[in-house]
Amino acid sequence: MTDEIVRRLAEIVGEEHVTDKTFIRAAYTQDFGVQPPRWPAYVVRPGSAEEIAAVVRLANEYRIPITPRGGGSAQEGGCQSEGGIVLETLRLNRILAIDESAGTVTVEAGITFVKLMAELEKRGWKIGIAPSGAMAGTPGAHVSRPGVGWGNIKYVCQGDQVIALKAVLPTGEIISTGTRANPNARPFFRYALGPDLAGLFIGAEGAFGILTEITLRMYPWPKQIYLERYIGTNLRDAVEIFRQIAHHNLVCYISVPVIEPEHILFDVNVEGDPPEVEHRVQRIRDIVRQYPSVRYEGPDAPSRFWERRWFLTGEEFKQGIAGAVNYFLPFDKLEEATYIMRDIILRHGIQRFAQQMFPEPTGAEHVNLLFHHSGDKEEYAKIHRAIGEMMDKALELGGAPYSKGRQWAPYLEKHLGGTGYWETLKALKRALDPNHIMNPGVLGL
Amino acid sequence: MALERFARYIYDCTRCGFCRVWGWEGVEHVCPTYPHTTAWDTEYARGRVRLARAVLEKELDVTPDMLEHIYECTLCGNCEVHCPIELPLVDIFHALREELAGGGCQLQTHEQITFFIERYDNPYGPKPDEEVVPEYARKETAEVLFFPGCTNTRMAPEEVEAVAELFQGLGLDFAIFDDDTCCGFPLYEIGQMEGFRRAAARTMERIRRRQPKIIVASCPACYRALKELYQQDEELRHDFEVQHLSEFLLPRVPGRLKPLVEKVTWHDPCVLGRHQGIYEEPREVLRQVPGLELVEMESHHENSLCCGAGGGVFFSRQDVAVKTVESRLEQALATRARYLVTSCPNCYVRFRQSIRKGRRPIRPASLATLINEVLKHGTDTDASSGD
Repeated sequence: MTDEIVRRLAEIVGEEHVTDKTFIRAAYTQDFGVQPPRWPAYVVRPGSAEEIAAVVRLANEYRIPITPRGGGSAQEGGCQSEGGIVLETLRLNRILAIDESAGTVTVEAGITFVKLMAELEKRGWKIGIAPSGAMAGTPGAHVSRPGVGWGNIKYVCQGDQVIALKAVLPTGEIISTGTRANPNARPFFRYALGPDLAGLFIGAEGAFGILTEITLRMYPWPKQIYLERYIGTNLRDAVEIFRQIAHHNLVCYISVPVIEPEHILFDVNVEGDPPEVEHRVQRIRDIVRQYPSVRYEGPDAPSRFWERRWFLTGEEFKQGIAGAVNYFLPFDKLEEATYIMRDIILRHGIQRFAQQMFPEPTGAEHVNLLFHHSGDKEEYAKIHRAIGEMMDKALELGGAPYSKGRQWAPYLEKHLGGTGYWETLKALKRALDPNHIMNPGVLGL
Repeated sequence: MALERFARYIYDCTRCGFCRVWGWEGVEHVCPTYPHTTAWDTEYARGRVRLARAVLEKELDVTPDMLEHIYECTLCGNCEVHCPIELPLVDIFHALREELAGGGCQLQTHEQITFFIERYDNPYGPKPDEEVVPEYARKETAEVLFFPGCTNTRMAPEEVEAVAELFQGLGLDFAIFDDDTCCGFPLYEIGQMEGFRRAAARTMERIRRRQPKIIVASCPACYRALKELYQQDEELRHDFEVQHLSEFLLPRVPGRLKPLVEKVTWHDPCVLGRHQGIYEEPREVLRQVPGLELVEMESHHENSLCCGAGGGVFFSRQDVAVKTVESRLEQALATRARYLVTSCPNCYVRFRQSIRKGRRPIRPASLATLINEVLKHGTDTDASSGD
């Protein structure tokens, strides 16, 4: 059977793009997080939507689970497969269209963000949201998470930037969304023709299909990008500042990479024409001035960081591989959640950890990174116990996980099971994926 | 176990994937060979670290194709420079090779160079009849000993001749090591550490007989072996001063070179630049040439793109090496420079082959040949044989 499947996959994608070799599969057993290794039976790298569709039809024929994977740099195990096919999208790496009239860029799912952004920058354009892992990350995977990053306040999340998607459904049909559903139309408007089917794939982590093309909004490169840093000693005050800045939509993003007791470090990034930037910065300073617990640190350090942002973003991982508990909360829950999570982390005796926030217009992504050296089995066990408790607590607090993968699956089922939402998701899954082959296990589906 | 020393780092790899591809800050690909392989995850640093873990833990049987993926790496160190958590990736990959070779796992193509070095002291086989070192440079003792190395001697003999003329032109008391022996670095690169020590010991014994004050090497591999690797081994340790040709020339050429009104670009050999930190000396030597305009390629200094020949790849995967050198050559051509200059026989030979084959509008030159020509003649000369 194995040889036959390899042969048939090779007929679709070419011999050099399919493997069942153990040593190659070893490199596809994990992502950037702490989920235990899962061994796929095959890794396949299609070069087109049509090839993906053919692989999906084959997976249905043999009832083999199939898991899409981009750069493999998520943290919750969404791109892992136990005994199935890992379908790597990295050969789909082209920019297909830069539509300056509509202000959209259409890319294949497996291009890396830095390549896309570098090309747009040359032409005087940018995308709204870029993940911190832009060196390795791909739009297909990012939209599937649903994609936060630098730009969170002004541009919200990658899902919000989507104009159209092209996807292969779990039974092998290829569909396009938004105006692109009209074969005569270009992708320029998302909420068109009928229900917004793009939403079926955004944040779905491949449960309802494999993204092959993504059309994102793009924006003229701002005339000025200005950053400045603040350090606070009171988390409540800092969160209140985030809320006010977000509600007045004054920044591109706020990054809060360090939250420690009485030490909250945050950078604001403001973009626009110089007078606009100056006005916004003034308003930010007016807000901050109301809180004596926060002091101005100036533009130097964050500006240096910005110059090398895509590289330096990985620096905190010098502390080890991170078990991540990342979830969204409204502003008024953030302080409480930070302390609760910190207590859990400390109670489990975790040696090295970081708490961070990345505010959104209505709340923030609350990030908890629990570091360990991957050979340290004792610390690894502690981290797993801690993150389990933290995920449970996050949902109890009313939080919403960012990337779910396999890590959050049991907790989603525990807290959402029986709700209309959950039952509808499951019904959709049954209808669209009758053989239950499309990334089974993610989201708890 | 060689890998045990690096276990902590192997486990620290976060699998972020930043070592795969960038397309940012002048770095198109972090791994120079990855785009020219079958491009599985095991064909750049992240996956190779995973393979190192598998070998460390004895998790997998080592298969010939697994060896191929491990040895597609040129050990250029670009991934190490760009690793956000600063893992010592070159050391990890070298230790992986040492572990494998020590356990009897070796590529068939590498078996031949191992055999040749053991048998003939040279990875290119028996010594040819023709003598490369000019008569006047063959002396028993001299203050300055130029160590040409096996690749210069066999693949780029014009380098040896140029150094002889150059040193003579500078009025130095010098000799050129003419024993046709290899420093052992090719064995070091492929992880054959016992073979490396044996070859190095034989070479060191011959160098000691010459009693030089300074050993000069233009080949970065020889330079690194003599300067760093020999000093790490009690039996090979020595008191000779070792200088790269660029370091040696820098105080000796100012004011003595005739003009060359041409655009020149410098290729940083990985072993000289990233491994030994010598970036500015060769550039400074070139800047001593009146009229010479030094221009940089898109990737330079620590971002420099490997020529594809290092790490034994030239011996084992010529297909990958040829495609990789083409990528670098494209960057050189984009500068519109007249000369592509380097000081590594591996890089130089690869450039020369590729430029000749493609009839590309650029001349390959080694630092020695170019400086020798401008010491002698200046503008009207042909500093290379590649045009």
